[in-house]
Amino acid sequence: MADRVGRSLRLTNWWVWVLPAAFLGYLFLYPVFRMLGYSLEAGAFGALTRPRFLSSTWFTIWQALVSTALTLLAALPLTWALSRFNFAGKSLIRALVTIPFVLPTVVVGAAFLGLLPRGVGAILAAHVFFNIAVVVRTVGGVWSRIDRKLEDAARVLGASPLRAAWSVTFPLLRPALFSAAAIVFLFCFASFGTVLILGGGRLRTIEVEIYQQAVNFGDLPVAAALAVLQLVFVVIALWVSSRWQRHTSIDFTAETALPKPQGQQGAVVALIVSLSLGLLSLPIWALIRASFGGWSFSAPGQSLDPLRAVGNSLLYSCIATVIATVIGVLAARTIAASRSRTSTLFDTGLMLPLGTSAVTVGFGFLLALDWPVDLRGTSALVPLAHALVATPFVVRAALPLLRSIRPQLREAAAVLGASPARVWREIDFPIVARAVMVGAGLAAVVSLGEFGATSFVVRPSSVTVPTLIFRLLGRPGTASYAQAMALAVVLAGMTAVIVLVIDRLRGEQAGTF
Amino acid sequence: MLQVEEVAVRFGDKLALDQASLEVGSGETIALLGPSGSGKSTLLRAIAGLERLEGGRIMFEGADLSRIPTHLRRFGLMFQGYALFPHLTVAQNIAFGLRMHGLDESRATEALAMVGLSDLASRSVDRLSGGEQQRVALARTLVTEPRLVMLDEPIGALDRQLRRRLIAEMRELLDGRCVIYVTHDHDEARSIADRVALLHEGRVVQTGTYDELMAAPASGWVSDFLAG
Repeated sequence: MADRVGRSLRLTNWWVWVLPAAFLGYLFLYPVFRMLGYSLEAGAFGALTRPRFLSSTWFTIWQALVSTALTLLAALPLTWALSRFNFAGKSLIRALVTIPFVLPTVVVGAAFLGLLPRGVGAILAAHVFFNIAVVVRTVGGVWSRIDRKLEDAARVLGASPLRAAWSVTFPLLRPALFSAAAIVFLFCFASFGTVLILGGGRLRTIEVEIYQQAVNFGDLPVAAALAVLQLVFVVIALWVSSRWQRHTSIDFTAETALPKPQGQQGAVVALIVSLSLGLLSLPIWALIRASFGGWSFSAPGQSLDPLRAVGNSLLYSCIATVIATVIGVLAARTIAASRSRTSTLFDTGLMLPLGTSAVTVGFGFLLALDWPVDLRGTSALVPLAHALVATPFVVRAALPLLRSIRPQLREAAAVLGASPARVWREIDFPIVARAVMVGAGLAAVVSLGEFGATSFVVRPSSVTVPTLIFRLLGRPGTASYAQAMALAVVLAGMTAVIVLVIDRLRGEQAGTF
Repeated sequence: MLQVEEVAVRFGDKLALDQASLEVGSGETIALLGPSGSGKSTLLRAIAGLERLEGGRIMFEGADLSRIPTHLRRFGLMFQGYALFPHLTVAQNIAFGLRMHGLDESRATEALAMVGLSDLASRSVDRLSGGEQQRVALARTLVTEPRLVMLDEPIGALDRQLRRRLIAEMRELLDGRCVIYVTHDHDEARSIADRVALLHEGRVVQTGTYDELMAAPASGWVSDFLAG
């Protein structure tokens, strides 16, 4: 009986899990334990009740809640238009909507700086701008698969259009809505670069607070205690969202052909789409306008050479992509091969905090990587941090496909004479190759835009584009400001190109993040 | 050739195989017959080395197989549902085993002709009909000349007319080989196998020719099962 899984023999090699385990253990778990030990030793946890930190924590929570609500409100009309109808240029529009999500936080921060004054309004607007794509992709994927006939049936049974939507469509959509909301909340909760730039130092999330305590005030024990607190929050939020996500996979009808919008509907859809795209492109225009006059690549200071930063960013991005792809694929293989609850734990408990709380990663490096050799003075930390933060994205891209491979295929290959390593090379790898390329592309994007971890470990010789933009924004004078904006345009351009290629590779499958 | 000696396989707290014993002689085709859940597929998987044995042992040509991993056993197993590799073409699927063993891949062409699919060599396997998939799986299993051929309900899911034709073809293809053939269809078992082994709740309860079993059922359950 094929679907009953007994204690079948594992067809894996030990190094498949030892390598990612060692990587994560040394670069993530070990620094976290050092942080925990360090803050406990110094008795820093008591300091967390100071009014300053209470207010940062409170701001972190409420701005994340409000951002999430606003994002849902802003994204739902567009999601409806894109998932219920078919029209010319739809896939391009979907790709364009995705771009804000992958834009580097520093770029978005800079763009909104050209649009709105620093403050809560700018932060909330930037968060909405970032996360609309999450809702469009996650909720839209489910919405497009809900059979239209269900609403028709409700109408025939006497429900008004609104009532039919409320009593049929909404309940089917609810798990996806919760799941999208949880993801958006998490991203806003762990927001760093955007808040650092748009908050003007006054408005602080916990991530920003960690940075200020560590870098500006040099209070490392308190920063370590805050980092531990942040990790606890992130893990709890992830745990809750993964519980919700489990209910997302209801079996819907096969993809139904979507109709073209008709008559009045057509006008509404056109209005929603053009309004959404118009609003989403505003920050980009603001960025480009502000960059005029900044297109000189002369270096205003020895450590502020723009061309060198671009070179560094490209180099680190290549290195980090290779490392993250190898480690991510091996880790995904390990997670997919074990069916137990530990695999879920490994996936959500360990992999995702990396992708969400980059500040913790960077600060952990700074605190812990003096053993066994002191890496802190070298520029190796930057690509290593990027690889670590990018690894979950590769795992997430590869895991669904690896899980979809029926164990029977691997067994058939083994019976036909393929050794475990050969099974991996002949069966698993060709099947997931495309997804791995998508994951590698995401890793490259993450590395190019990485700011949170980099801001801790960067040295004058290893300045990257995002860190340089941040420094230029902090300098007085309109010349630096324009140059920062020009660099942000360059970075956004590089990111957008990779994203459009990824979207091609991903094809029509509705991706989730 | 093959001796399965009191083999036990556990799924959670249930024994899927419980002291199952079976012997297959050289050139013999034996049918494993039994209701669903009786352990037929599990027995094949155990022989292939895909299940961990909790007790007993499996011998082939006098050698204990327990330390030999699946990929070195040189057995053939045709899975229920066929397990064709979706990323490979028909010809690549058939050549897979040849490639793994470093054998001459041109034999795949002959095997394709043998099952009458020469025209479909470069087609993707998910664009095949059920009957075509069955043939590809059968060719993939036989082309490496495995020492033991195991077939798990090889024509279970096909329609009646196709089945009748395939049973005749199958008898020809399997002639002279050492075969274990899993089925729950009595006619199939009778027309293809030299002997029948009856499985019930993880045990082999009786073996013999189909007519011997009919003439002298070992228990009330056997006679009920054969009647029904």
